[in-house]
Amino acid sequence: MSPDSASRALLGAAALWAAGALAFQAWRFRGAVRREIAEPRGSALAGAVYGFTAAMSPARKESASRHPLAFGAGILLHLGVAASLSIVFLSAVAPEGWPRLGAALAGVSAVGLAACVGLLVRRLATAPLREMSPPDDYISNLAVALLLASSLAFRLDVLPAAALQLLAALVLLYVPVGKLRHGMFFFLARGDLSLRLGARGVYPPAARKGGGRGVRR
Amino acid sequence: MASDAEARARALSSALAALDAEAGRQAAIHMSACVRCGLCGQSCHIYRSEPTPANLPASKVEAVASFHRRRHTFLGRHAPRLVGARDLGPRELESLVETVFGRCTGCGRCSLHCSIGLDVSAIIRAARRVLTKAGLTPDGLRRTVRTQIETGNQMAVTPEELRETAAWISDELAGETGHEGARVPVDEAGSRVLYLVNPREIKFFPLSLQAAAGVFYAAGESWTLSTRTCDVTNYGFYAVDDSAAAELTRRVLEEADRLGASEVVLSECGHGFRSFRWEGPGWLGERPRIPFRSVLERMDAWLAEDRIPIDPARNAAVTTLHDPCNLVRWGGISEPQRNVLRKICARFVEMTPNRADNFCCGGGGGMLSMEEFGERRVRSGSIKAEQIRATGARVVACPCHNCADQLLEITRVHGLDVEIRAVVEILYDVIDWRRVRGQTLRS
Amino acid sequence: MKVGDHEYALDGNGFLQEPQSWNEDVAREIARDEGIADMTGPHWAVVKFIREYWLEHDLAPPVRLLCKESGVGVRDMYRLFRSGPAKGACRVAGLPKPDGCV
Repeated sequence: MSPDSASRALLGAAALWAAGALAFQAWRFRGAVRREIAEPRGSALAGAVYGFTAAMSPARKESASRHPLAFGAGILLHLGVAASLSIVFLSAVAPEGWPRLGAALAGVSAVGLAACVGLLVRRLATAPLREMSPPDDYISNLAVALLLASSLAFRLDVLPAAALQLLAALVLLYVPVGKLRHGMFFFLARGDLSLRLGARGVYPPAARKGGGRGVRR
Repeated sequence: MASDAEARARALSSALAALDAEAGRQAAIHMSACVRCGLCGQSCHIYRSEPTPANLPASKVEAVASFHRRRHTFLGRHAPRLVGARDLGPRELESLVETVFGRCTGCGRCSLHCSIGLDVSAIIRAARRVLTKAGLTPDGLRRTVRTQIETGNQMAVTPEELRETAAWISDELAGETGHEGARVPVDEAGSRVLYLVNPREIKFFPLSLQAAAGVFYAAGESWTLSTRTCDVTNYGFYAVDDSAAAELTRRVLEEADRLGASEVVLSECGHGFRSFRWEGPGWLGERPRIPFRSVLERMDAWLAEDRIPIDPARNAAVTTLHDPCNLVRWGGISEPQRNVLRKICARFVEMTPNRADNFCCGGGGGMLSMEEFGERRVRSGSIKAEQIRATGARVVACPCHNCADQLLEITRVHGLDVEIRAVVEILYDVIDWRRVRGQTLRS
Repeated sequence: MKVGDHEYALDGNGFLQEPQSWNEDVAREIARDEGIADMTGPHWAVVKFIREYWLEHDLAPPVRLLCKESGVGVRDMYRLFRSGPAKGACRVAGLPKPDGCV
């Protein structure tokens, strides 16, 4: 087996592990997200749609509007992760293809890396945050930084594809056991809350329903 | 002492068993989703009024989740320090009581503003359930649950006391309105509506009961109180004592059946509405045969149908509205009270923020019954007090008796000259009694 | 809370820690905190009845009895004690806080 195919196989195995372990964790909660037994006042589905769209806009979310820098960095970080994962994927399936796309992805990863470092500094510099952060928070941050940096290095031709794939596999191994698993739990948690608030007629908010229920003067 | 140590060991093992029982439930989803970004502080009235790390919503989540992680995640079991997993021991139980009963009212505001969207109050409630199963509920709360189960209402109002108060209020009502038929019916089988009140209305604040009686009469509604189940509150909800909560719900349904009522109307109460309307079916495992409605929804409908003759000109006071968390953010009732107030107040002004984005008054989550957290409770009301001050209103409509008590206290502490009133009291004051027909329509 | 040379402890809700230590000076001081500058005759009638009822029954009296025995009308009761008979008047009367939603 050539080094390239070995690293590709390891990467594939790590990806399977990450997906499988996350799916297993989600499966353990199969009975937990229940329909509201009470007669609904609104639509659970409309609640979920709102919860994953407008409810997340900075206009509706203080975690974004009150913290534009941290929120912006978070968005850039997640875009960077998506770009990096794409670079890793392309390195394994189409090493020669789409050079211009690769360059663009590298740019997004670079910005993501800067955001990632910025968020690390923020965690270290903010007292209440530092006090409650277990090593997992730093490991997760560094793991993501590693992914972003190595995909960038690969695009700059200073890291061979095999090395990138091995490093990415390492990061993927950690995903289901540390807080990076929020990549899956984000959807479960926001989904559960939004479905419930939808059924209760809280999501979407009345002001958006064109006057709300009942009769107005 | 050996027996003390034994009791502590028993409490701990019940707590651990209860914690394990939460592992596959809804709250554990939310515990697993927090990334500790720490962007939640400014959305929490307790953190804002006392910005210590322990009051940060994410820290409260972590205070519970760390125990879950220790027993139910791979790294938590094998490398606890790495992921901040902690063992639940006697000392941890004690500080957990303070965190989940004394540092969070479960208002849910942080959840709506959370970058992830995790339900912090579901986590807090899971931890309260664990502590209640371990027998560690704060005294004031535990006593109130017991009183409610034993006497049928949270203030141990006896049937005789209820009847005598009803008779007294009936006299007052007839005197004020000039309608002899306006009264407070008790235990009247065949009434369409079973009305539940906060027992404090019978014991200490009868004017809101009198107002409700007047409004029912003016609308021609057939209704009754019951001496068996008069209570709209459910302290089992606050303690997260699910069996007590279910029992209190079941009793009301049985009484409604016995009286032949086809609807239960709930006096203005945040957690009472949430309990009967939304959580009750979950506790019982089935949808009730008859609907539970807030009196706010009823008033809205009656005014829309022109069933109550009103003269809003009598009410010139600038009026604002408090949004109780359990009624609005967790209950979905935000417009009926506004529809009513717009019709009966010449000058109605909104607080900012409002509706599902309101700030908790600070008295939620059973906080008013736990004396040990009184200082923090009053301090955390400063945001609400400033919201009220900013409106310039002289009257605060408050559709929750629990919030009303907190608002009375914080407006006094902050030197605000405002009146705190139930919506039904404001409506009662503008009823034009000469135009009330005064026959009770039976169905 | 200091009254004369004595220090009186209040609980987290502002109620007298030791209800037995109550006296009229304490009542005046708590009343001031309630925003009652002057304890008038009707104030005293309400407070004294609450106190007597509590000593006998270990309970705060219902407002119905309170109105009847003190001769204060129900609407006037809330003018005398803005926080109402439970938190306002019971506090001035040196009772422990009644349980529940008050």
